[in-house]
Amino acid sequence: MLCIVGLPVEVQVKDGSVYSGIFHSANFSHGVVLKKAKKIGEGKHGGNVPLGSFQDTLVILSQDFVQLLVKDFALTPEGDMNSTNVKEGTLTKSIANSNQVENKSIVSKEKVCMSDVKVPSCNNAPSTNGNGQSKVVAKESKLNPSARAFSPSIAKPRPVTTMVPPIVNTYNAPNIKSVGTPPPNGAYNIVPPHPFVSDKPLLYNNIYPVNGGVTPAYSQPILGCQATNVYPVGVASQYRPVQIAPTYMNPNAPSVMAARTGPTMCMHPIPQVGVQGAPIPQAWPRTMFNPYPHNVPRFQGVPPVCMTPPPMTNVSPPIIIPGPMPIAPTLRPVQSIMVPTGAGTYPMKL
Amino acid sequence: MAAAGGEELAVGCIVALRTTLGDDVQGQIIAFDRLSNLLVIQEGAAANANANAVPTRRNLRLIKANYINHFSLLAKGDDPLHLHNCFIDLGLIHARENAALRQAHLDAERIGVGVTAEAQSIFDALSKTLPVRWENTDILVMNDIRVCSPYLPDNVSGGAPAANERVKKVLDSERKRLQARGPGQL
Repeated sequence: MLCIVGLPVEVQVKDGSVYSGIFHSANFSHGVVLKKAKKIGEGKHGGNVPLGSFQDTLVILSQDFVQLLVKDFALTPEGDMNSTNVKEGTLTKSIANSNQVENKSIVSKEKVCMSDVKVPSCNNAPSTNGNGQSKVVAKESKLNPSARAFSPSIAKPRPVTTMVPPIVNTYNAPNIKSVGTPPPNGAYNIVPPHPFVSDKPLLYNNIYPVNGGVTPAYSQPILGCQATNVYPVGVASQYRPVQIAPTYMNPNAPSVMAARTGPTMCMHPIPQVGVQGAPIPQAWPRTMFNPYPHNVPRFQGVPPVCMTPPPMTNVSPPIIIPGPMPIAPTLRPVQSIMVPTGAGTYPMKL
Repeated sequence: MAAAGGEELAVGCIVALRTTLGDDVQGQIIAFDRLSNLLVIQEGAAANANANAVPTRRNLRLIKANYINHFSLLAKGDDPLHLHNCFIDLGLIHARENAALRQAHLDAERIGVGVTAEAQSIFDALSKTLPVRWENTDILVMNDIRVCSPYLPDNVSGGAPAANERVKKVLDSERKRLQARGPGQL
């Protein structure tokens, strides 16, 4: 970014407006600052800057920023490091000016070293080309002793430029020329890891098939929020977090709990003792909603489902997508539930 | 350039893309910043691979990847940046910015506020040969002679007679020249 400071640039914002000005500074997580800026292109929504009027300082926020154009820009400085006419003069000037801008230089060079890995000149570029350059190196190290320690590497590939993630793989954003809103979040944006976010992407309709090999329940996200461990308040730990998702039901199963009118669907493992006193496996069995068997032993490993309404029988079970529900209030100690079967109901004590 | 499965873009790739605002861009990728989701592209033909070649001047674009609508990879190329040639002269940068600000201030002074495009064209034409400046909506020539709206030779007043006549002649010739270019120029 330092390479374009002081150059005339054009910045386009999301509503299509274009501003021309002198690039002063930028922090692309916050915004871009232009000096002596002028609006040269009108967008959809106008904005608070009239067309053609000059602004001494214009700050364009990052959420409005679309692109920045620098015209006739030379990537590398003209001439090369070994030439004596241009570079020495330049370096002489920089040394002469350094007394005037010394304070600024301390901050600026630190920024060069620490923020812009594309230009590691503060450490390595002026290395072997004469006394003038070695003086600059020495001066830099005095001004900024930490620069060498940091040492953004030249030898290694620039970390920010070696890998470019696939910008377009299969995603085609809708054309939003007319609307000044960006495409949905996450289209191209790479979200940095967040301490409260699990490794899984944030999904609102998180569907996890209930089968024997399911991941530990405590790591499942809930209701679009990312949480690693969610314990319902006041409930014993054997209660697994509520799973807000349609659960797979065996369509061939006799009607068990085909419909529910309650807002919640709780799934509780039979804690330690099953119907027949056998220990209950912790893993969710594949046929959780399967059929409620005619004989009781199938209840082992089939966690009962807590339902408030009486179950309907002889109805083909549709997939029920539960609505949003709070976590804590729904999980309550259940003393006994009625689990319907084809042959009747069995009271289950928990 | 490493690709981890699929097709990943890296520095040096020649790409063509279209932004959501309708701009078509074709150029070589210089850099990509993940944190800010910014793609840096140098427009135009691929840079000369020779590190000692005279650097060409081309447009540089910093595009937020969120606003890329369509994207296609045209070719792969080498990293256009030669790091051993890169350096920053902070003094030069400061001087460049100061000079740019001074020039921008002068350019801003040349723009009339509340004047017509015709008036601005006349001002620009007069400024080529005479020292002029705006004073509200009047054109002040040599700090002495005033040209008022509608900026005809009859609207020239002040100053010495010789200078006044000279300004009238220059104004008349510039207006004729502007008219000769086309009605749209006035």
